[in-house]
Amino acid sequence: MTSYAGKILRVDLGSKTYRLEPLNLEWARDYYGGKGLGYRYLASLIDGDTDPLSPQCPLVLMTGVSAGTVVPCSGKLAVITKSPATGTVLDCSIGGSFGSILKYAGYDGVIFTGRAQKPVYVYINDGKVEFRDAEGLWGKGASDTEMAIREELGARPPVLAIGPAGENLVPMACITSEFYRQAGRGGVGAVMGSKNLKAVAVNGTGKVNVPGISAFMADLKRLVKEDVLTDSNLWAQTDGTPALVEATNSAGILPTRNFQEGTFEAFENLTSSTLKGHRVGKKACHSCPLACGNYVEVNQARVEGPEYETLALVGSNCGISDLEAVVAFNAACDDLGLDTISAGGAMAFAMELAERGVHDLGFRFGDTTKYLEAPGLIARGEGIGAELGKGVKHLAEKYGGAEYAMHVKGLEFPAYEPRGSWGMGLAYATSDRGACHMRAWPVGDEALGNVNPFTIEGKAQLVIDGQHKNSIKFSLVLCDFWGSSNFETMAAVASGCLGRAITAQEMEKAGERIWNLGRLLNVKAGFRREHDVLPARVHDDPMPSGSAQGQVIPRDEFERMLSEYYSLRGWDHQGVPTASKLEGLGIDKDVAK
Amino acid sequence: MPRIEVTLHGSLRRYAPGGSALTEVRVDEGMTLGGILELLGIARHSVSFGAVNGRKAAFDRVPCDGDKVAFFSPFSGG
Repeated sequence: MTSYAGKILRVDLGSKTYRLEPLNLEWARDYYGGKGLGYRYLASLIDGDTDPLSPQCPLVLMTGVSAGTVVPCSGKLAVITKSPATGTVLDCSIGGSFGSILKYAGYDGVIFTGRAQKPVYVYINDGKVEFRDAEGLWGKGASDTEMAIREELGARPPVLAIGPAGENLVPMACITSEFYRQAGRGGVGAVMGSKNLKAVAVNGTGKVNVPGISAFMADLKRLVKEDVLTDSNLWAQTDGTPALVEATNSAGILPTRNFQEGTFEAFENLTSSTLKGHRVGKKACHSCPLACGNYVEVNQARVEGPEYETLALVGSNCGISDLEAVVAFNAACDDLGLDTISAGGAMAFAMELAERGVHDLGFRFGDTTKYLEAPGLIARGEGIGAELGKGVKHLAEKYGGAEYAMHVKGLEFPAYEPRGSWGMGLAYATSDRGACHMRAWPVGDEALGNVNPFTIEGKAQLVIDGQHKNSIKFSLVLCDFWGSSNFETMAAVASGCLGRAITAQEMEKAGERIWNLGRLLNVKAGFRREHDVLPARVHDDPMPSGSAQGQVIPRDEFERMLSEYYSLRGWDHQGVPTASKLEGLGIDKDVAK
Repeated sequence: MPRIEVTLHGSLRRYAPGGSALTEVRVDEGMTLGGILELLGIARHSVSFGAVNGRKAAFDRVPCDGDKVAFFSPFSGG
């Protein structure tokens, strides 16, 4: 007995048919679930040339081994595809309860391919799969879509939905669930929109089996007490991610006015303490004792959030100190189905273009008037919104300013300034989906810890360790905010769910295997060393103030750090995994060739 | 005796007298940030970093009278 449901649901939207197939147990043994198993299925379905918005590109929903159990922080779902923003592989993690209910419905994962002739939504109701007309939902926001589906089904199944941004194939479109949770980055919403798939709803009434329930429960009680509800994690409960605003401002790495600065003079308007004054409720995902979600209301604006990334990218990085405006921007993005990180990055870049007199797209740092119109324009592809929605890379190619276009491989920077945390620069450059803070997070040790942030020494290994840890964490589909989780705790979770003794070393090796598989797929799509780069600002413009004042990451130091990273990984000088490395990790020969 | 304003963030608040995030402490001349943590009964491993007047500071930093000191609990990815 294991916690796997043992079934994968294949849905062809073009023919409106579906079939069940057994879970590939060999792949599950090597990749577990979530991100890793999703990558493995993806590898069997795409090649380097696959267009992310083509019917052939799969959209994979994959659960973790502990989905639907009482394992803490296990309520998330992995969404895997190829990114229309970057052309890389793409995995996102979305909170709520969809993953658990999908498991109760009897599936480990769902793979969507094809394109429906007209808009549909798919209702997975235990063993039955229905293709329902969504023409009446097309054009609606994600929240209205979810409400309408709940009314139509007469129940409250968790729903994954896209807004107008996904329908209009905006490369920064996200997928929303339970109104406020997102699979945010890289354009997963556009992939869904390209399939004319407006939403997916799931109802599951089955169960999840775990072997040896008594020992399993005893282990979990110990883990919750000793490793979850501890000082290392409880900030997520008391404050949630807004706690990071004051911390990053103190560390000099709070992105401000398109990463021109690392401290914001009005940061106090955006802090956790300020938000607590507007908090009207709390929310947790399925099986989470931390409950990091906060409902916030500022005058007419209401949202679950804003999370740190939004406060920083939509707030300080746009020079916006008006909390109500930030909340309103956040709420609009949630409903329209837009990633606030990329939207904030694009806005900030447009603002700097205007400030420098390069090109005036109508936006100014600190001005909330046109700013609040932007999400609608972007999502509907109207006017300047059509340009903004294609992201910072596109804007720089069209209007100039490449040296301060803050992206890697076309994905906008998240909210940690790398000049104040050099390892974070390497993490962005080598991330499998472009600039991302969730592949490795060395900033926690550097700028927000006690490791020297202004050196390359030891950073390659620090980033590698983080990438392996997060690769297996997002394959078991555990939440990032179980921050103290490590290979040992994850081995305990996996062992309990799968009924076999799994060691910490096996977890680490699986993390390395998953990371290498992602790189291999990106190499097949043409990515090499020349793409593992940072924008010129990071190398050339010294930080003007704050704890990182005067800092850049010198180009030669960055290149040394990158070379060390490749070498430690067993990759060649171009960042291509060697045959012996792939063989040593047990990556299938048909994928490795 | 220098007077220091101390702000405790995140889960560190439970160490503050009265549970308030903000507290004022009187410290001996020459007391470091690490010494203030000891005074408040906070283990060093419970703290990710400290700051003085809004800038990151080492645990051996000696704050001056009237300085604003902040301590942050460890974070994971945001």
